[in-house]
Amino acid sequence: MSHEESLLRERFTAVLARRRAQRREKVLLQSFFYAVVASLAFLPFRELLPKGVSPLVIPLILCPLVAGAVVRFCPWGNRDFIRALFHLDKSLGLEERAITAWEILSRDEKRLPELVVLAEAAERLKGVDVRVHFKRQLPWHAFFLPLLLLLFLVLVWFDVGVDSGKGSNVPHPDALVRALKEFSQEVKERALSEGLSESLRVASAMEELAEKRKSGQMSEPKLREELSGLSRKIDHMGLGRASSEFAFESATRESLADLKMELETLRPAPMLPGRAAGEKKLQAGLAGRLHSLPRLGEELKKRRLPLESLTQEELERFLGEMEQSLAAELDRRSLREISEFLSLLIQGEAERGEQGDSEVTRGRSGRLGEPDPHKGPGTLPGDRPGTKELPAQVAPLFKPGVAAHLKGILKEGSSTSFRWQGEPQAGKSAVGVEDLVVSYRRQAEEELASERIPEGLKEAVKNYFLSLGMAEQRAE
Amino acid sequence: MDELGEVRSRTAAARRAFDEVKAEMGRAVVGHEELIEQVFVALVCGGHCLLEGVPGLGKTLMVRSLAEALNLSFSRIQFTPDLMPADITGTHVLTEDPSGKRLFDFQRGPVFAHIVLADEINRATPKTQSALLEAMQEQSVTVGGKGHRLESPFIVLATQNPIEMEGTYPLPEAQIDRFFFKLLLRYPSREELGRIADLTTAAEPARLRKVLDGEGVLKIRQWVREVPIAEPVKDYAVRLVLATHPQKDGRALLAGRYVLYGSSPRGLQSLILAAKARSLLAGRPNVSFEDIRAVIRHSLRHRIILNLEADAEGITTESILEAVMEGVPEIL
Repeated sequence: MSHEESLLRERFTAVLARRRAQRREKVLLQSFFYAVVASLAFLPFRELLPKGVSPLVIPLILCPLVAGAVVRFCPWGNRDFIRALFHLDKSLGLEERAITAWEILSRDEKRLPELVVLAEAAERLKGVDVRVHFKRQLPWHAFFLPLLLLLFLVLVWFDVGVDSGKGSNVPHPDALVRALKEFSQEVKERALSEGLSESLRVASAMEELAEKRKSGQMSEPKLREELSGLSRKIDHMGLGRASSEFAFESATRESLADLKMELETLRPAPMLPGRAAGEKKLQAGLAGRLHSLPRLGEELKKRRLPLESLTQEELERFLGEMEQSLAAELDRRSLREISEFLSLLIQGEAERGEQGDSEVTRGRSGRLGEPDPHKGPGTLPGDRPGTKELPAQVAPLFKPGVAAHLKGILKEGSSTSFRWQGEPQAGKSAVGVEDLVVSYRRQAEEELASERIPEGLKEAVKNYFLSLGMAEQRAE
Repeated sequence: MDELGEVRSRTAAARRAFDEVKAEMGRAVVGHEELIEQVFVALVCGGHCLLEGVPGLGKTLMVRSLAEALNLSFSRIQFTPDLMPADITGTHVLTEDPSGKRLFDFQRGPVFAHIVLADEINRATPKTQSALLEAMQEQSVTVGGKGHRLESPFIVLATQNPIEMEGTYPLPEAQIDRFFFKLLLRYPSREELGRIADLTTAAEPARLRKVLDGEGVLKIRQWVREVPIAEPVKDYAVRLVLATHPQKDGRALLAGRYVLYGSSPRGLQSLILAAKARSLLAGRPNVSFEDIRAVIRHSLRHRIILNLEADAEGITTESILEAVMEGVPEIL
């Protein structure tokens, strides 16, 4: 073998090795790219994955498969090497000397003109650095790969996907944690706004458990155990115990909320004029105020308090006790809701049915105690009459200006209202200013509780409605 | 000198001869540099050329100058409708020897020359045209049942006028296919016209120096055939030829629509041989893709037969070949 031939063989081997390495790199990049794309497409159906298998393994499994398929069906061949030599010819301006020389090298017998080609090719390729002429060129996949990978990881992190809900009644661990966390946050917000100390404590405990589970500090069985313990603790706190002096057990949650609001409305303003103003003025003022606060008035009537003989301190003490009892009752109900939610969550029933995870959310959204009107009897008192399934009573249509008569037996239960249907008549309906203020106040509180009012404006809105109450009092 | 040096020196000699012929002919012929190159390429490949151009563009001058520079015999045959085959090939004439004995003696026709200019070949009848057929293909003529070998190198340079087609006999495809190249003569530019005027009206026409001879041409012809061509380059030429065929896979888009018949295998032979000659005359030891592309028009333009739709739409074989080159990649 001549010097030229050995030099050419060495150069061509270097080219071959370089191109093969580049192709391997390209195949791997492309395979990983398509594996991530396929993983993204599969992400909505990741519930199909075996239990305990993370979606993160999908690209790791697919990448070798795709790469293997590419290598299997498009293996490195002679044509690839010819392409590499073609590229070398073009980049060095060899006018196909490299390709021709490579072909001549493979022949046993070489004619003189062919040896000239070998000599010229060897001369041109002598000082050529293959790495310079075959620089790393990343395919376009490489530029999109980080973005796709990031997107994939973000979606996995945020647990995006469609829960098929098939094959298991047990909520997904992530769904359980999510439901627990959302519920605890809702309870916490409500407890803060309504001053429910026990509920706030329990909600904080639940939130802490959810965080621990999410961060992996706690296993799922341990979480369930903790939740069971929490549920038992709530039960021991005396959920069934009634308030000592005020009987709020039969009241609906709405009426309690109204009462609380009325108490809050009464609190900022002076309860009663001073003694110096005289008893008559006190009596008249309180009667007028109570007229605008129906729930409170009703409670006072129930207690049969002698308003005319009440002193300022006595009235304040009475109202304070009522507020405490009211808060205790709301706290008790809230704890009961928490207990029921925890029971559902632990038993895995929250996931049952076609609503799946959404049922948990719906069941606990705001009022867990409210039964589903389309399902069986409610589990909480006061929300629907009895447990006996009777044909639904259709209330008569209400006609304005015409007396309506409602037939039926008023059975034992806690319902305090009927449902009426009727066509409103313009100009005939009237709402008292006091009722309107209370109603508006309630609406304002609800709006404040929701997130539709920007945080910075909440105080301004609250003050506005408070000022309405003050104005009304001044007008009196 | 070692063997490689010898090969290198002959490549250099071929290139030098080519340059000298071009330079020498350039003294008599203005413009047509590319045409001169292609005629020389055809000569060293052993092929014949069909020159197409309007009268008065210097075809005869160019051919005569070529013969003069190469020190080769030259004859011109003006093809007319009444030209007979014997007027080309020659005929037996009754003669009397000194003893008074009468015998037929073969009188050589004008085809017995190294360079034959068949002027306006399409004006003669097909019978007469076909008299050239054997000479072009076999490099021999048969008269009276006896074959006569033509001297090498032998090249026929036929011309035809593209505009005066009335009263002509278009060459049959079989005969056209025997031409190695079909070359188009363009009208001279303004500067070239000025130089033509200077050369032809001011003084006596220059006498050309003999820079090469027939033996030299034959040597170069042999060297041309020894130029190596890589398989991918040859495959490129094959795919180009196949792309001119409307029925074949890998055909060009325009070819599929406008071509009736694609190039014959002779087209491929012409393409590769001309590419080899081009690389040798450029001083290169091997054929490149560029060589193939440089000669494809001359090699294939007369071998592609267009259909009526192409005629109607004014599509030429040039545009077909452009499309073919655009559509066929160098490496698959």
